[in-house]
Amino acid sequence: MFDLLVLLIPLFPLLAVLANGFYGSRYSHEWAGRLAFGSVGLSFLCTLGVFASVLSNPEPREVLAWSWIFGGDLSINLAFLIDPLTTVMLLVVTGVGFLIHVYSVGYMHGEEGFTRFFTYMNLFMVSMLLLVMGSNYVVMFIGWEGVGLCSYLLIGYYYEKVSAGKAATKAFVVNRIGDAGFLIAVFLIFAHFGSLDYSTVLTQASSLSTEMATAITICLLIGAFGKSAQLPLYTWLPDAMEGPTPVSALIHAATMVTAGVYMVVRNHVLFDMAPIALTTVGIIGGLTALFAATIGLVQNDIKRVLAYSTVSQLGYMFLACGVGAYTAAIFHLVTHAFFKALLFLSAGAVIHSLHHEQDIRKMGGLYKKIPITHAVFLIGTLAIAGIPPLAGFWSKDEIMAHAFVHGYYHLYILAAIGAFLTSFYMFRLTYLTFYGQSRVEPHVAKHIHESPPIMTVPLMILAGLAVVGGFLGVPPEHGWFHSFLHDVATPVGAAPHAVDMSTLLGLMGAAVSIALAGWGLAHYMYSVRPQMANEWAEKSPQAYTTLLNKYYVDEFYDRVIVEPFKKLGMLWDWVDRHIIDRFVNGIGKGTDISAEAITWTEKHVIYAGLNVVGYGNHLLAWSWRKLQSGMVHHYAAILIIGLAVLIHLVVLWFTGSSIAGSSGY
Amino acid sequence: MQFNLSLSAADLILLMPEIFLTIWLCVILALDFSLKRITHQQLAHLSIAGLGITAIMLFVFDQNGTTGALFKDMYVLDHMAILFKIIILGATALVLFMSIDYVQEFRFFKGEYYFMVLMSAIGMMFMASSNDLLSVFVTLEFSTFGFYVLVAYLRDDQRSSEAGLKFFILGVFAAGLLAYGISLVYGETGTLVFSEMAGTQGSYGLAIGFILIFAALGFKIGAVPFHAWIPDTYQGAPTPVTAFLSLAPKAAALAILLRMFFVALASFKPMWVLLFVVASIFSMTYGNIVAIAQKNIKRLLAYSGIAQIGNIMIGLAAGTKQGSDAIMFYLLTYMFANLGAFAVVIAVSQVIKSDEIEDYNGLNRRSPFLAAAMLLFLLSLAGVPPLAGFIGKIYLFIAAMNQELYTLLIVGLINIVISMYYYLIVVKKMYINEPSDPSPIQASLPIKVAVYVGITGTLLLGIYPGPFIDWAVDATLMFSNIAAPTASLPILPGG
Repeated sequence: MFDLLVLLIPLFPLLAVLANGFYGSRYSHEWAGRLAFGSVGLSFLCTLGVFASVLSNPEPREVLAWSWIFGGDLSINLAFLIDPLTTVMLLVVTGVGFLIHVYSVGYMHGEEGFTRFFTYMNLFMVSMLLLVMGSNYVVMFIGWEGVGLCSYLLIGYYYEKVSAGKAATKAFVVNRIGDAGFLIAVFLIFAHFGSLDYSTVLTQASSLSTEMATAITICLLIGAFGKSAQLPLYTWLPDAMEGPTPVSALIHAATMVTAGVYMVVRNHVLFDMAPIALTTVGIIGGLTALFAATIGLVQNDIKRVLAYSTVSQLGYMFLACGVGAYTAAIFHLVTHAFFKALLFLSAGAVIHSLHHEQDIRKMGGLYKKIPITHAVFLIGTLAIAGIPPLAGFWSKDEIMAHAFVHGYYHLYILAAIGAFLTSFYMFRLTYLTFYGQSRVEPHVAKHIHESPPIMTVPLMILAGLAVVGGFLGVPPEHGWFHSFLHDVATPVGAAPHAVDMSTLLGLMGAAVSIALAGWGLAHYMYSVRPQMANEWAEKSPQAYTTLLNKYYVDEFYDRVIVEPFKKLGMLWDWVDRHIIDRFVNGIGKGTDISAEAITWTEKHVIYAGLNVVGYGNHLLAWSWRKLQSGMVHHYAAILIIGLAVLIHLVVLWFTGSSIAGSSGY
Repeated sequence: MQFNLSLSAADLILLMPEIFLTIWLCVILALDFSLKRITHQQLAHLSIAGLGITAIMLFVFDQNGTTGALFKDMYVLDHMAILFKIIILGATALVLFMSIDYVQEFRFFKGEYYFMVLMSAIGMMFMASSNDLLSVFVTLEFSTFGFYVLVAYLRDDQRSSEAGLKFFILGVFAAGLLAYGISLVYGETGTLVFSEMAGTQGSYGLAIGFILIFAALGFKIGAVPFHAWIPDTYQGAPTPVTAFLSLAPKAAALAILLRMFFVALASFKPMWVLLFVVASIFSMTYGNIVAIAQKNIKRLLAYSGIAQIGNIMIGLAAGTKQGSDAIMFYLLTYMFANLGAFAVVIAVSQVIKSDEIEDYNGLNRRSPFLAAAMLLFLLSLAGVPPLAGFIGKIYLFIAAMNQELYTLLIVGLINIVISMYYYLIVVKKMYINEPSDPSPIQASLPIKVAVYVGITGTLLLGIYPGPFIDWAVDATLMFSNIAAPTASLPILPGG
């Protein structure tokens, strides 16, 4: 029963992919949509069943779907590992995924390529489920590549738009860099352990030398940084906002981009053995959290602000991994999935009601016209800014407290500044979108309308989760969430750390003050004195334009990496065409000629020779002549000559030789 | 030697599939000439139903372990025989699907066509079960007679008649070699039963005898240097018959080869390993290189078939349980890809009346379905992952590698590259070249069924090979402790 439930989880979306992909054009859009979200809903129900079973028995269990490749020392199974960590990921992926699928049916209504959209979305679900459920690195890699592919397909969903095509390519190429790292790590793991199963690798990890552990984990990190958009591989994520908004919510906020965090936590045993890698994770995470937040301060596209915010929040999760707070990382992953999916989807609702307007300079004063969207967006903002008792507060505070208590003061400072900026830019976004004077273009303003229930109901559910989701982890470090994940996400050799209550409360107080300070500043700048932001921008134009242009990182990459590679590509193209192709063509021609030559030889030389033999035969056997049609006597002669050669070969080879041990031809 | 032919009911059960099919085909023949109104399509469907029932019967035998030997071990029904018989039945059913429309073109004897096909199928089923040299000879000739007629079935077509005659003459010639080989082996060992031959001492008569038998069977499977009849016969025969010829007799002959070499001649292993290594290398290389120069798709598939037999002989050359597993599995993958490709050839030729590769230009625009199916089959034949042929080749190569047959391995790998070239030439013509006539090509329903079965098998065996590999592994359990070589040839004076 348990095994069946586990197998059904990825199977339902897979069936929907097949149905919509091959036969989607034969039935109406409504049915395609129902099939899409219905299948994910069924997966979610199965996940609940699995969850209930794991609650009563948290031991890791493997479920074999089938033996895929086996031969020699290598055996790779399509098998799933179910433990509390996987279960948490499954709940997030199928639960949030289901809500986003339902929402999409409303959002994508009437779009051309509706069925295509849902085929890709369900394919994404299958890949993501493989990624989090796999019991070995190969299955994880298949999922890893699958989500990358679906991300590419969905970013480029509006393929008539040049910018969408470019963004899709960029996402794919940058991800490939990370994938290469991941793949090298998998090779290293196989070379060392001779197995790719988590159960073998993670239990025998202590046999690794520190150098080997560092090499493996650094390669894994390259993969994680690519997939989860961390410095220096984050540039694709903001561009990925070219895709439809539900895609941004599902793939580029709630699930795929958190795969890197999941992977680090899954392999935390290896990371615990490599202090250098852990330090790298922490510092890169902290820097990304701060760096992306500063860019988010001045962006004017509602989705781009959220995109940089996602990069920044992912930075917090990596920071948590770096300081050994794996449970806190997953906790933040979960709460982030709630409130960031909420924010993206309600941003989508705003965009939807404004007829695809994404520039916040052309919004404002919307709270009266779309009250539900406004309410849920505000809840999302409060949650991400870290206002208690909403979800984001608990998880972010736990990460920062853990960093502080364990003496990572530099990371704490990065995180604290980041938290201040987060609060500021999120409230800036809220004020510019929903309050103040309406700057909506008049012809759009007439048609502003609230979204249909199929979109608002998922928003409300997500808002509810963003409010109460944090209580899973209350009290900090000792909540239900922590005891559930205790066996799978506790750092190796971590001693229980007694922290006195006053420190914790002090840190909480600090976190709340930081969040409130950010809110206060945003309130002052965008509500009390709206012209102040422009004054500041004019006062230090250099800082402003640098931020607006995202520190020119894209331009830098273009100049230093993309352009030289293009030149190298052109050079290589020349070499390929003028040197290698000639060589290959030569071989091809040679083979062609030899094929012709053999045919020719067969026809002219062998048969001519055989004719001579044949005439001899004719003289000997008159009856043969009458039977001859075409070349049949030649064929018989070939047969006999071949036979003679074989007999000679075998008899000569083995005459008098000892039989035993003579192999190796 | 005295045969006791008293049979009990329990023994008869082992023969049930053949008995049933024989009765069934007599019924079909009777229906054909007694009912004026019965159409040949109905006869085809009846034939396919009979094949299906027989296959199910065999499958039940396989599951229940209904196995045993009859007639002093002349006839044996074990798991390997069952798997081979199911492959033969499957191939026959696919060929019948392809034939339904093709048969319209015959001017005479539409109904008897099915009779002949089923007759050959029964012969080949007996071949898969034959366990001594006498039954090898009888069953082999039995199955081949059907083919002589089938190859020459297009009576008005000079090519078909010529192909039939050539096939007949060379076939009889091969039968002569077989009889000569059998007489030599019997003279040296005093027995015809495979299991009794095991462990005999080496002698020249025996060595030459089994090489002669190998030649006759090599003729059946089309291994170099016994391949010469293949291209002409394949090209001249009606295409469904070509498809039939390209798989079923090969499977049946492989069953005999496995039994004879892996059981009876196990003690001569190094000798026949050399034999198979040489035949395999020559078949692969010759088949693949000459295929490049072909202009006719049937000839191309004929040479590709020679090369594929070279691949299969890698498993024989390995001479281990692993090798026989790989052969069984590879045959399954080859059945789907090869018969699928022939189904596409028939579908195309019915519309454009041509088998020239040139006429496949732009097939993708004329029928995306057929082009995509052909692409899939050719890639599987070439061994591209994740299709069935890839897994099959992997297992063959693993078997050879474990026996340290490195020369064979390297030649095999080079040959994969060569084969990729001519398979992809067809793909290029289908997908890149402009069609000279852009009118769409419609495949009829029965052919579509065959193509779909091919596609399903090619994908399924590639992605989910586990149970089929298990099946192959179980089928050849009897080879799990293939005897260590003990025999050697006596030293010739001055040798």
